[in-house]
Formats: sequence, C-alpha cells, structure tokens
Amino acid sequence: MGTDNPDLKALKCSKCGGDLVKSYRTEYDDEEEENVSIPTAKCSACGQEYNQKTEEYYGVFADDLSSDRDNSVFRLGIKGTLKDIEYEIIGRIRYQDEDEWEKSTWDEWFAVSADGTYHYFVEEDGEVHSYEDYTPGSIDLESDPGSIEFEGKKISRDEAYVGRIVFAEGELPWKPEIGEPATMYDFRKDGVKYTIEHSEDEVSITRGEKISYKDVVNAFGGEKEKGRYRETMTMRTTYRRRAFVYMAGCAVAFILAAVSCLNSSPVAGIMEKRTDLAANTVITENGQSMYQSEVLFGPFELKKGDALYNAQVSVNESVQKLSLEWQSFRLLLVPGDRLLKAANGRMTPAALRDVFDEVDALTEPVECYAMSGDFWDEEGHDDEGYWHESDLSLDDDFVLEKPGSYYAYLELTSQKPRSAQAVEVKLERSSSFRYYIIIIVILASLGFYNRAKARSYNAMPFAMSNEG
Amino acid sequence: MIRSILIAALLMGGGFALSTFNVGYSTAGEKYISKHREERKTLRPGYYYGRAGYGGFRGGK
Repeated sequence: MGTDNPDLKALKCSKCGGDLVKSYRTEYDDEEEENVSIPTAKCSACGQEYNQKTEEYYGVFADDLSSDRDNSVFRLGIKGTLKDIEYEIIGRIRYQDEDEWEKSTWDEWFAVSADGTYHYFVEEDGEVHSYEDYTPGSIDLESDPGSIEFEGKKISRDEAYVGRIVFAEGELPWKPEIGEPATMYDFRKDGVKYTIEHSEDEVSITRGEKISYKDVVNAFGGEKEKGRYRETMTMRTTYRRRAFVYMAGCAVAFILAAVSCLNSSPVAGIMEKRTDLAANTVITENGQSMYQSEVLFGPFELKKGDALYNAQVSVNESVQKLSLEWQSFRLLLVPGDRLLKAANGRMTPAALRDVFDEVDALTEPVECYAMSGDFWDEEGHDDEGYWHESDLSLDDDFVLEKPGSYYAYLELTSQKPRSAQAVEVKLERSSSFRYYIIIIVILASLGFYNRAKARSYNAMPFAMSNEG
Repeated sequence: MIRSILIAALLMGGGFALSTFNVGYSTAGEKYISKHREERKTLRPGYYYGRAGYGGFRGGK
C-alpha cells in the first residue's frame, strides 16, 4: 500500500471529485506562542480543506508519513528466533496518531510463529513491544458511554486515541485502507500491558511486553545491524561512564566548596575599642555639602598570616535607619607598628586625627589594605508601580600577609548627619570556595553533556531507546 | 574513561591549588604598601589623592 498500492488512496475530493493537493494553513499556537503552519489536504477545484481527522488527508500525506519505512530491523519475509520461538514477518501496518499534525507514527509488524499463531511486534519511539492475541474473560465496549470494561477493570474512554493507517504491506488479516481509523486503548492490568484496537467492524485484543533491541537485533538483524548495535551500545556505555566520572568529580567539588564555605571563624573584638576621631564634620565636594565621621577601631589581633579574611561593613539599622539617603565608607586596615610610627609614638586622638587627615598623601602608606563602597536607600515608581530598594552591606575578601596587631580606620561620608555607631565592621577568617564553584559548573556541564550523549548516541538508522 | 578521569582530576587539582593558595585575591600587606608607595611618589605636593570607590553618590552620579 502507500506508494505501492495507489488504487487504495483516496486522492479525490469527496465533495466535487477534484484533485487533492498538499496545503498549509497558519494558526496561532498557544503553547508555542507563535504562528505555526498546519498541513491540510485541499481540493484544487473547490477549495475544500481536509484535516487529519479525514481519510482524504492521509491519501495526500501518506507518503510523507511513511518515507522512513525502511528504517527498521524488521523486514517482510525475515525470520528470527526469540525465546526459542521462530517468527516470520509477513506484514506491516503503519499508523499515525490522528491528534498530531506532525509525524507521530508506529509500526505494527505481523508475524507468524512456527506453530502458526499470529504475533505482533510494535515499534514506536525507539522501543519494541511483543504482543500476542488474547481472549479476555469479559469485555464490554458498549454499555457505559464514559468507559469500557475489561475483566472488571474500568478504562475511561478519554484514554482512547485514534490511529490512522498510512502504510501497509504484506499478508494482513484484513484489507486495510489508507486513512482507515482505529480506536485504541493501551493500559496495564496486573503488571501486564494490553492493547485494544477497535476498528469499524473488528475488535482486536493483544497483550505483551517490552523486548530489548538487543534481542530484536540478535533475532532479526543482519551483521550490519548487529555491528551498528554494538557500536551504539559501546559508545553509550562510554558516555555513561564519562558522565559518572564528571558527576562524581562535581559532587567532590561541591563537598569541598561546602566545607570551605562553612569553614569561617569571626575575628573577635574588632569593635571593642573605638576612638571617634570626627563626628559629622561638614565638608564640601563638587559644590555639595556632606557630613564626615571618622572612627578608629582597635587594636585587635589577626592571628593567622598568609590566610584569607573577609571584611564586612554594614549599616546597623537598629541604631539608625538609612532612609532615602546615601552613605559612603572607606575602611583601612592599619598595622599597629606602622600607625605607631606614623603618629610618632603618640597614640592620642589628636595625633591620630593628624595622621588620618593626611592619610592619602603620606608617601609611606600607613594602611596595608583598603576597601570602600556606598550604602543607599531609594524609592520610586516605574511601570510596575512603587519600588523601594536599598543596599546596606558590603564585603570583600583579602589575603593577610602577616599576623599581628591591627587597627581598622573607618571613614564615613553621608548625605545627612548620621551616627557613626550605626555602621558595623566585621572581620572573619574564611576559606576560598569560588574556584570550586567554577569547577562544579564545568564538571556538571561535562556530566550533563555526556549523559545526554549516552542517551542519544545512535548508529542505527532508526530511533532506539536507552536500554543500557 | 581514562581521559575523563584525567580531565576531572586536573580540574579538581587546579581548583584545589587555586583555593589553597588563595590565588586571585587582593593582598593586605607589603604588596599593597609597595604599590601605593610607588603611586604616591608621583604625586605633586598638595594633590588630593583620589579614593577608589568614591564618586558614585558623592560625585552626584
């Protein structure tokens, strides 16, 4: 059938007898959220359209839907032995799911076993199922409009789908026609898979199980198919192993990152001793008046050298809220000995104020690390309405070269007068984990890529599901 | 398989080394001091040394 039996095709318009041709109509697809072209059969004489719910449609599109019909291990006349039973393939019907306007086909291969009984191999979506005829203890397809009954099991009619014949060949139990519909139910009962095919004048009930392509290829395949199957399975195994190695590495990197992330300890006593050097001194920059405060914290001990520390400066809103204003800060980490030398041994507020007044101009820097930033609080309106955003905390990592006694100098500049007590400085010993994050991303990408390849690699000329 | 083990091991080793030796972080110590000492040598007397990070809200930007 198909191209082999053109006399069975319904290629004429049932309305006017005109020739049917392929056509497409454009529809908006809600799921795709774009216009899609949907194939239809159209009469070249009267313009009548036939969609995929009509036999005429399949008369026009049958060849397209069966163009890959030779891509299978099964072929007419081929013999093979499965579970010690020899089968001969004698026919095949290809169905298309009526609900789909894209190609969605499956093949039902008809076989006879050595004892003369019919057997069916259904090939769909890269899987093969083996079915045999089954006579149920009871079945009722008529009495309930909402469901059918099969050996006491109710099956909703909503589960039914319609297959349309698009190709047939060989010796078949009946004479199929292109576009002929069959209503089908696939379901499981007591762990066994059953199929009911209900066509216009016949009901066929089969039960079966999934069989592996390995068994199918060994039974029905030639050397070429067997070689391609071996190549496919070898490559899938290789990709799967690679994926496992990368994902295992990813897990190790994750653990290392988590350990590093949790492995931090605060430096105690940073803000225990404080010397206020200035409070809301009015300064002018670029014609703008602003308020500057200066605080010196310390001394405090940083006990580990050549180690990573995290400095955090934040607004403590329980002391004073930052409301619709900004505040800039600069934090300098000052070694105790350098400060003592810069202040000529006089650690009085006045002497320290003199040092920090000129801190940026000292030819010999007094600090060994600097960090700066802005806190802000803003509100406004945009397309989505009112918004209110703020940034009240900043932090930075640095490596401390030498352990010892240190001071933290904090310079605050604000739009409005603010309490210097409302800004907190914290230091903590931390461990680097950012490189592990990069490694996790790289290894996870390699892992997912190889896992995808392990599922998709296929040297066979047809789809084959993952059965490794 | 061996290649993937090597790649994973190299990446893990690299990440571990970069993390252990704190590569890529700013340094608080002589490195900072030397850099700023050299920068300040070029300053003219009375020049106000620009502060990194300032210029956002304070500059009215």
